[in-house]
Amino acid sequence: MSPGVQAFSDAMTAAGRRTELRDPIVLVLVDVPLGRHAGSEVWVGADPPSDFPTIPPHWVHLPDSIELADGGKQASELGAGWAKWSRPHKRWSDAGSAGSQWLAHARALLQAVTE
Amino acid sequence: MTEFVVAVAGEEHDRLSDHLTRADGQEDVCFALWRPSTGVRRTTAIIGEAVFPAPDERRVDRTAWFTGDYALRAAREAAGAGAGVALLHSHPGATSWQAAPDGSADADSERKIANLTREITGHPLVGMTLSTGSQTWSARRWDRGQGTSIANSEAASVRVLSNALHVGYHPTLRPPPPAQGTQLRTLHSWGEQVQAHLARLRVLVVGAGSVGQLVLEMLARTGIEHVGIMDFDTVELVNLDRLHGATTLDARLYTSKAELAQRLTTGAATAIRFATGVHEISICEPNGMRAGLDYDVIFSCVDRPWPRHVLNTLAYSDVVPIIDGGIRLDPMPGAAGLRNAYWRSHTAGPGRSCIRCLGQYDVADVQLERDGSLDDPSYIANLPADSPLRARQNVYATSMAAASALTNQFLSLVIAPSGFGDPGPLKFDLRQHRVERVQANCADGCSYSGSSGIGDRRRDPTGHHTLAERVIAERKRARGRNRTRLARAIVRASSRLEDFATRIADRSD
Repeated sequence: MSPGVQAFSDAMTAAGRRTELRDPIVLVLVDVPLGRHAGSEVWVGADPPSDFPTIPPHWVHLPDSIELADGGKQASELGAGWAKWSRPHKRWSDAGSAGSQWLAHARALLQAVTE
Repeated sequence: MTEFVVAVAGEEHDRLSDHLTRADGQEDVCFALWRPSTGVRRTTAIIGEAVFPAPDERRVDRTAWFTGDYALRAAREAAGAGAGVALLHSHPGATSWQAAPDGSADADSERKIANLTREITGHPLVGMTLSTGSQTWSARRWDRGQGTSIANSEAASVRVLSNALHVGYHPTLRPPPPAQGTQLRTLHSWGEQVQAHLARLRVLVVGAGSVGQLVLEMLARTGIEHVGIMDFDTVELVNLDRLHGATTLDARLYTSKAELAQRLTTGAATAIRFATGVHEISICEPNGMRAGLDYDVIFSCVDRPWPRHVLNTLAYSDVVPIIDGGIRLDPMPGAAGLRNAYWRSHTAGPGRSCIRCLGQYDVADVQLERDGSLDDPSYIANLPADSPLRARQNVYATSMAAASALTNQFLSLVIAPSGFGDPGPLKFDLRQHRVERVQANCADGCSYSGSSGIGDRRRDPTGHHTLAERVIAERKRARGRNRTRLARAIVRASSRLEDFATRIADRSD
């Protein structure tokens, strides 16, 4: 396991989230407070680089039942039932907690789902 | 044999110098921690936290003495931090390199604790002497033999990165350059002492493109003796409108940009002992980054986020000053003229704002480059029209301006005219012909500036570089074609003839 995967898993655990390792992808059970999926929990995957949290993950892996707007979709390394979306975190900062930042990013994507 | 050098950030130097440079003119002593930074051909000891003596741990009576308990305390602190121990003392009024030959008081004092500190920390003892007259350091590492036969190896240089770059050079491992007629005007401008400092720096240019080739030309003509060139790319026809010295033949013969730079710098060099380190690799690859750690100063002539991230990391973790810059052209819609052009220059390293906090790249884009998205035409096509990742504009004239801005940063950093070091981040505006000082500090908790001096303990910013491997493989394949091989052989023969003609001309003088 790379130091980045370890650091990402630790950050999610510290944020109270359930995780599952599919090395090099970490699945995180994310709660969705608003939008079409409000009240549910969705497994979301991230592929943290070795120098996380300096560098944030690029792809967001989602169950293929979820469609995001504006494209950027590719096949996920997680296999059937999954897709990955190019959603770089453009306001990534060292000032806040890395775990909170990524969770907020994932929740914002899930909240925006309309289909 | 691996070279050994020492690096000290300005803040640490000031703290240590305040203790070691005494108002009463006596020498003093203290300990500090050091951490390794490992290159391909050299190892650097980066001096970190000072361990100052308690009142009963050292005595000053013209010479300075320390207790065994003090040495033990320093070794335990170092072991706890995963660091080595440095023993530092001062030579009041000295201005030159201070050797510590066998039998000298300095060597005896260091030898007494060299085994102890190595056993406790796992790292050899580093001994350092501050010449208080010049505020430069000398250093050695107790890394040979063991027990009573333990011996030291002298450092080739000690660099201090404060507002300027001050370097103490070993007089035989890094001897001053011989004066020569080709540098007469240069020597008249700033004198032999400045030239001896400049010439002995190991300077690397990462990115031998439009800006990098011009910077390399400046370094070679100025008399820098050891210049590194790092670029994996190949000269193409599309580069010819802005790549200094490149010809159509270079593009036809698949000349690499590093090879072109080597040819041009060798032709332009005024140093007698001129040498180039040619690295056809990316700084983003593990071996590229290690090669970068062999240099005292690095020019960042790249525009992509990943190499900038790697260089920004090294600026702080390994105390290597990184001179970075960039060009932004603002064309009118529909390519109907130029609205404005900007270029920036800045030096990154401890005590300065980092390249990320200056807004020169977005950390989110680093992973896009690593996973190949930035080299995927379909991915780029889907980016917003104003995304900086789509920018393809560049012209020779603004490359010259940017190279000049980087050169000015370098000169200020190294020469420090009238004691003024690097000017801080600058932004140039072509439309108004205005130079603006960019006021920027690193964000709270910045992970780059927060990693100052950690050396090899940095989070690894490197990785597998698919594009570099592909470009190098394509070049090798293209050069294997019969016509290309023959044409390249003719060019090599022509170059050898030129060397022969030069030797004949030299003899006729």
